[in-house]
Amino acid sequence: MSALQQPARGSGGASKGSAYLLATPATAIVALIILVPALQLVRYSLNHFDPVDLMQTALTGENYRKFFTDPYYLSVLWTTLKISILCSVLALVFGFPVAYSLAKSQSRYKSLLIILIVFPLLVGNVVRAAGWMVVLGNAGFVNAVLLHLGFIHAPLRLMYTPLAVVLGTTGVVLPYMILTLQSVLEGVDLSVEEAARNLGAPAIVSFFRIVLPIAVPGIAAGTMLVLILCMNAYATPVLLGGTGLVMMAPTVYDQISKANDWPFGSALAIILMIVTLGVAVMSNSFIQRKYAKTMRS
Amino acid sequence: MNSVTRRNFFKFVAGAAMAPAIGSLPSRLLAAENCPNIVVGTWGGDYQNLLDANIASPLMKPQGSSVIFSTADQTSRMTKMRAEKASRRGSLDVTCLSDVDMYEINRSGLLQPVQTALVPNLANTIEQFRKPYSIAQMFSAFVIVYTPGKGTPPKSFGDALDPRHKGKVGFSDILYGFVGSASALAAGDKTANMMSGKDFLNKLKANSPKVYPSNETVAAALKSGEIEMTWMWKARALQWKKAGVPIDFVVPTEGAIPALFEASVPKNAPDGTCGYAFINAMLDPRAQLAFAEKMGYAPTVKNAALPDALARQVGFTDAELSRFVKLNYENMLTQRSAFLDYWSKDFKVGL
Repeated sequence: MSALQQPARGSGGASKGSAYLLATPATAIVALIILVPALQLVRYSLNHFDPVDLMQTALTGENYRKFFTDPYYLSVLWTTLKISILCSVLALVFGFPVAYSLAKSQSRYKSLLIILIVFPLLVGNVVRAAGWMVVLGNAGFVNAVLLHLGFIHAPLRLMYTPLAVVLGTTGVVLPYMILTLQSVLEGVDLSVEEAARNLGAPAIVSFFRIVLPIAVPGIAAGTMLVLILCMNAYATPVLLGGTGLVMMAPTVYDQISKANDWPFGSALAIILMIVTLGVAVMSNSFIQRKYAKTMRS
Repeated sequence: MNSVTRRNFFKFVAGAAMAPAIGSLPSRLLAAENCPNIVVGTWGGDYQNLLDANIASPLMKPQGSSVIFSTADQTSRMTKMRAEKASRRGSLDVTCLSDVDMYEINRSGLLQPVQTALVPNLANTIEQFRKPYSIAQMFSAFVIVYTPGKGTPPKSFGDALDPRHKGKVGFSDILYGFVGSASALAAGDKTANMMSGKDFLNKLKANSPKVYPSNETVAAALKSGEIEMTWMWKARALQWKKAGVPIDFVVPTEGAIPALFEASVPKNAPDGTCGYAFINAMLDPRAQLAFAEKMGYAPTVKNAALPDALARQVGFTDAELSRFVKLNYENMLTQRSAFLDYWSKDFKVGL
């Protein structure tokens, strides 16, 4: 072990202590910002809805009961899960090659490429959804091209469909997936893949047996981040899904803002939070477990 | 001799304690007259810009008053007011809300009764819009908006059931409550209770109406020809027409549902007197004219002196005004959640 790698003797406990101490203020602020509103929501979700007085203080499970006994709300949650998983998978499939190429790239234009990927993040989700509306509308780009080429005789209904939501949401989360994967891939030694290729492994074999396993931490982190974003998507499902597809975040908003039913809206928010957390942890642990051996090595 | 006696010491302490109070006297007197910090809770965007350009700057500033806008959507503003209910001093001198929301916030006991003596312009307002807890700044009504040149123009909300409009009627999702009320009128309920509109909407569903996520997407659908009829605020329809959407509109025979933009002073306003000064300026004919010109809403004062063309454009005839429905806000409030349930789970499904 080199001198650089040796920990300073006798300083381990003290440095750990001061690290905790340094992390305390930030942790306390984050906990305060996240926990206090979440606890407030939990409390509201146990109140009784009153159309005139907004809510009456109570300790009732009626809002949760309403959710779990109403097929409509269960179907909204199920739709949200399906769309989120699909968009996360698509983001991974389309994002991985880009992230991998970026990580391997030695080009002097690499920074420019990264800026291009970051660029959509500078534009709000609403604006991006508006862009998709121009592309997918009845008089939009896709229909215009298809009509012009004679493939169709009347405009296809592309807006307010699950397809529009999947396209829009995947477009929103794709940069997050690429950037997360790229930052993790930058940190691993991809020369192992070159060694495998040198030793005669075909490209497909080296990808599945070398590249994919070493990219697992990035895949896990990216998938978790993207899944959370998809589960909580609001603007894209509202603007591109319309009545054709209803997801959880717009439903929470509807209950709080339109129906003024804060207790039920809070219960929906808590359920969405728990399901999102559960699915994210499950997907993460699934990926980690599947590639545990590779990650350990 | 400079020795500090006990008497001198107490004189000094008493003087020092009084000094800030004496110093602030002129500014307090000034504040009562000039209102250096009127906090107005309002929507952002065009509405705030117009409040600033036509009320705060030209009418309040020359008096030495200054207006601070607390910008938020109505839900946030109402939440803020509810959160401040227990505080002796709230943060808003004036709150701007739609008529339904204003009723709700007053129902929660958060508004003070209008002090008519502090709002002299109130005497010029249209009687039917006067309320004990708020003033109406401008109004419009829910009308039928249609594409001309597609056969006989519609006259009533009920015309949406006509099979020739199949697949060509569209609504804005955010106006679900007013669509419910208009449907109730079409179904013959003169009180426009949204739950009475369910049967009409169920029949309408057979005509394959469309529901769009926002008013803007309805405008886009009208422009592209995807739909040929909607129910919308006349002021909004005017804005669309100005923007080149090929539409016309008509006040329905069943009656028109009014939409009012209102302002009021919260019970715990830091300076209610100044709040009323701003509200009085909102009713100034110059401000009313500017809002009619820029936003397309009709003035609520009778002395706004709009040019004839503008008056015809944004206003309503006496006959039309007489067809305005007096909404039962209490019913709207109590039925809102149940109607949204119906709207989301039954009406919109499969459209």
